[in-house]
Amino acid sequence: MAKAGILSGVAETKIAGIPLGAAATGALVAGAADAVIGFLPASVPGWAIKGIGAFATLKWGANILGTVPAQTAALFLTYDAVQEFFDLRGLVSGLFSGIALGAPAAAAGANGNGAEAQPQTIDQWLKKN
Amino acid sequence: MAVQKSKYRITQGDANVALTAGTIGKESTVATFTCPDRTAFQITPEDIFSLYLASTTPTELSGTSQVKLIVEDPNGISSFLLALIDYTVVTEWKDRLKLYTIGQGVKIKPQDRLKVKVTGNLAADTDSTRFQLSATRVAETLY
Repeated sequence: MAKAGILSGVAETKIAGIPLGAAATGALVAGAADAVIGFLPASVPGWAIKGIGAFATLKWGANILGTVPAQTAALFLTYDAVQEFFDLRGLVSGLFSGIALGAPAAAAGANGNGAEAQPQTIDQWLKKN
Repeated sequence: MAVQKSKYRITQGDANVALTAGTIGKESTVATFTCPDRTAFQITPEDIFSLYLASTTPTELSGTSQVKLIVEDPNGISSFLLALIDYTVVTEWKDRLKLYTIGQGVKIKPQDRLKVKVTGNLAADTDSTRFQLSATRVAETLY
């Protein structure tokens, strides 16, 4: 059963069925967790801290904040942790970055996406010029 | 890492230039530029070259003294003659209409040497030697 907390009322706000309140309170709590994480040593990897933060928010945050804000905050923190660890978003967007919808395919350059590869070393420049 | 291209002027003050004294009536190298590692230079036909040479007195060399600009590989096995001119042709420093333009292109690779050789009526002194050679520097950056 969902627990009521100090942010539960706001968390239930929806506009046109879109859970704006949950997103806002989740972002608020995740932001607060980020602020706490900021005080931790830089040697600890960010994804690990955010993972632990997500667990702690779910475990103890629900009693204070309410179930929905705690769950949303945990979701945000988990997303951050996964993104930092794998960069899934970058990987997936990279799959489509070379495709221009409706445009004819460009001649493939050395980097395969139609753009001419710029030389990175003197040897490469000497070969190219 | 990337390569950065920029206009550059090689002069007697360059850290990679070594000056040596000339010998009267004998072809001798008065300046040697050694291309640094991770760097290349491109000389185009439009690039300019100026030279001033004088003896210890100091008396400037005669206009008919022969000047050679040569690019050599690091071992000195092969060389490319970039210019062979009378000294008087390269004595202009400021007037764009009178400045000597190289007229041909060459690439100077890392550790290649660019030499200024002179056969003069006087022995060129290192303290008086001045030269400028415009070029494009292509250098690898750190990141």
